[in-house]
Amino acid sequence: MLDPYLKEALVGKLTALADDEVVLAQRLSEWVAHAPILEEDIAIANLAQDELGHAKLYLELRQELDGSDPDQVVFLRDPLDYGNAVLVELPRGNWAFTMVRQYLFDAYEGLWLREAASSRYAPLAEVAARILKEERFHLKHSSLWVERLALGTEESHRRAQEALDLLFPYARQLFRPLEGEEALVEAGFVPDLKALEGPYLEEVGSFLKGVGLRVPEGGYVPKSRKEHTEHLWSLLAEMQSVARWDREAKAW
Amino acid sequence: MVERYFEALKGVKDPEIPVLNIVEMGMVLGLEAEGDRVRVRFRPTFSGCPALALIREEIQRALEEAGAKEVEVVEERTPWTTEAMTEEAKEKLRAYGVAPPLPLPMAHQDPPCPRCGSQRVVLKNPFGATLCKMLYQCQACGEVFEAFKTV
Repeated sequence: MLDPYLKEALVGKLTALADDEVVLAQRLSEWVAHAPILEEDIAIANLAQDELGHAKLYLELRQELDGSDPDQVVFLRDPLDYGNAVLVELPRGNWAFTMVRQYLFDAYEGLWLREAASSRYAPLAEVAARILKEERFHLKHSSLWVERLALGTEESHRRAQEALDLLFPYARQLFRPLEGEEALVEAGFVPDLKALEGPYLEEVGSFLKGVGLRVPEGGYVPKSRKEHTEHLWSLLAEMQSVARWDREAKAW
Repeated sequence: MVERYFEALKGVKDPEIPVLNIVEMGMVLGLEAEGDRVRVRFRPTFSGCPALALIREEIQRALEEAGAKEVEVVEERTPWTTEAMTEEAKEKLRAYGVAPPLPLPMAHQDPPCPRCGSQRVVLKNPFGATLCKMLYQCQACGEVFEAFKTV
């Protein structure tokens, strides 16, 4: 049996992990039928589908702890209760913005999952190992795109740098722990985000510099996952509209 | 009886790769039967696989057709790996035009062209028409082909 305090913290952490995936998947899916080339249309649909699959895995772990229904958590929860990072809710922007964001997120997830795969909470270790297998392809895809854009034309480079300047401080929010997360770290359930930030800055920094991009310094880093931009409201309004309109909707 | 139910599962195809069944894919972890009560433990391949609900229904139907009255389909969390795929399954994939997954230690290498066998292939996209495949082009024969991801 889990200590009630740990259980509550774990429910919160799993929900935040799932929220990142769900919101990012929604942003990615906005590109379907609008991506620059057909292969990318297919790729982005794959990415969105993978992220939703990962959210489902996290929410099933939550369900085992508190009996919550994953569909309810995703489709009937208000924006103020969403615990995603601001990074994933920002509007999709242009292709460079979407790919730079994906790269920054994929690199964080790769580091986090590698550690989480040896979590002392066995169900999380299993889920992390599973997700990690799929994330390898995400990082390959997004890093290739960042490289292509950064080294492409003057215009593609400008757009990639512009996206990076805006997104980088938000990426650092991914390393801000939730309230109560220290207890989970102490129990060996989740990786220590603070210890991962250094390796992240090193890995991402050397890759970005390698392709001729400047890693921005400073900027506003949201302090908690309770902070959101107005963009989350419209995103969820669209995503949840069917479920809220017809709660009995079982098939599409 | 167990044999018969197991044979029935071999009739359940992966809807996204219709030449393979779920047994040779390595998705079935176990089957227990007590008379006409059957319990199947299976694991999905990719976590976001949209065919999952369909596969569950097909398992149910195949077992009922084989005489089961009560069917329980349990989804296990054990990660699936392409190592669980049988050699025959890999051969079927190749014949179908899809480069089969490589042995796990070679996961970072490119697969040879399923048409002409050349190693001169270029990755066009790490994503394909389904979650489990990538898109390649062969430089030798020009064939654009899908490769099963090695996971």
